[in-house]
Amino acid sequence: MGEVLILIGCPQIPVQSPLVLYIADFLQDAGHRPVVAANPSAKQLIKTSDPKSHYVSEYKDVDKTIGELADGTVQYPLIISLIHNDAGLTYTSTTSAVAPKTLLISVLFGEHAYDLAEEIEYPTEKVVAPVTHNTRPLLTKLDEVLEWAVLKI
Amino acid sequence: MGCLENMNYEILGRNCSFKEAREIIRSNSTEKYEVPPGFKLLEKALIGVPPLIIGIANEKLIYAYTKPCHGTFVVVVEDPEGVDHVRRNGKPVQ
Repeated sequence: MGEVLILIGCPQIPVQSPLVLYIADFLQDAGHRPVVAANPSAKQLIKTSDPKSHYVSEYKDVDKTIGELADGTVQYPLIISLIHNDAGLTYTSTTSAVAPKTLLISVLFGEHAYDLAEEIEYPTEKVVAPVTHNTRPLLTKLDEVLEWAVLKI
Repeated sequence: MGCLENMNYEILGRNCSFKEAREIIRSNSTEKYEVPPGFKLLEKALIGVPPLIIGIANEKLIYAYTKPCHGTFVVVVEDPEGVDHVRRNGKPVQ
């Protein structure tokens, strides 16, 4: 059972936490172990929604995880990054640079989603919708990309 | 070596985009070095969009420090070991 990393940023946009559980559920069904890299507040929101860890198998500190990827002490065949601000883009760009062999999916949401997507210069598959409260516009493309990604790893 | 919070530092810019931070670093530094993302300073991997520029002025490091909820800051840090590390391992740029 392979591990897949879900990288998340600041939890201020409401769709982020449900997207994490949705992606984790998909990964579990596909036989993968979802690991979430987050800052403490984002992690706490997910843990509150999934107190018995039915969806997320493990949590890691986001900065420490990028350090481990840079050192080569951890590797993931697939990383799914949730982005809604410049900091999220910066973290994901760093992840791409330190883990160039990893298949990287960038899920962009929030009111600046299209602008952020245009700034991406690293290799990635993008799922983009400028939503804050409604996950639905993201889900069809997300399903399609996740199904493709788990077949590739 | 240690945490940034334990160092003598000042903030040159806050809530910047990474591109803005890069320009602040360039315009406030007398020496500039390009380093790869994940380059270690204070035992922590640097977060950033390539090209990642670290500046030096008055023997202090000037670099971008990104936090998920607070965006990117440009910090000036008194870190003699870091200055030496950057000069030895960074690629000098204009």
